[in-house]
Amino acid sequence: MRLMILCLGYRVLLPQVNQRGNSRNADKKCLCFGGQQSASEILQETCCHIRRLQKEVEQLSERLSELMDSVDISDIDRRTLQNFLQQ
Amino acid sequence: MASFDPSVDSKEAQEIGDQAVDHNSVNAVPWRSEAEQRIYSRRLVEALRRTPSSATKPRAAGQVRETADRVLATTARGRTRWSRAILGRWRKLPSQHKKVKKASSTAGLKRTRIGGERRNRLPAVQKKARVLSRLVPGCRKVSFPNLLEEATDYISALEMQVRAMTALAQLLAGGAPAGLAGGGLS
Repeated sequence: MRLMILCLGYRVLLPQVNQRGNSRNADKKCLCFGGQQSASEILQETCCHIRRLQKEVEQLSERLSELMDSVDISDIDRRTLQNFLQQ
Repeated sequence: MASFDPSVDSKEAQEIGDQAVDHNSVNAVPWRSEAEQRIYSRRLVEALRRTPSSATKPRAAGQVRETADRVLATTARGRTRWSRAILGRWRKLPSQHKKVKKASSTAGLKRTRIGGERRNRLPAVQKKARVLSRLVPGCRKVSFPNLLEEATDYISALEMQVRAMTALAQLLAGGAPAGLAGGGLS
């Protein structure tokens, strides 16, 4: 079971290291991958990460709804849209 | 209200199949691939086009959120529990507003008072796991290994969702993906 939590930890924590430069925290977690406590930390961080992402989606939804009010999404230049979708 | 075509183009399916990296076992949707993000973006745009515009702003934001989640769940192709749970929201309650599973921060810390103060013998891991099970849709009663698998996949999917919606917002805001303020907002 601990191994699975470790895998989750690598999945959740390491990308954040790269993105945010939060290396100090992540180092502590990576090095402590032994005790029960760090497993709990990984789960905690996972929960925080999910909440953060969900909140971001919420904010993006608000932003998109505002933009859709001012820009009719059907009117977007078809080519622009295709470029966007082809990227 | 199944307005989505869950079947993927055969060409795209092949592209995805080639890229499908099997992280653990069950979930082979490559959320990090650009192809997957393209598919999601396209479906999201189509779905948003079909969404009738609402009068009040909070309602519209909620609609966008629901649409975004529903398209995300559809893109998961029914392979994960969380995605099926999201799709199940609308199947079961077609007329009502969806049951919002509020990921309240105190949910996991709810102390079941079994006797005295020190009786809270659940190890921290189990407590945190319970919190996690409430955050991932449809995973309240799954086994711990499955929960971790679902959570991992859910996180990847959410991250893709954020990337796609961010890009779409930038597109609508002015076209230049460099983040210049567009002329859309007044």
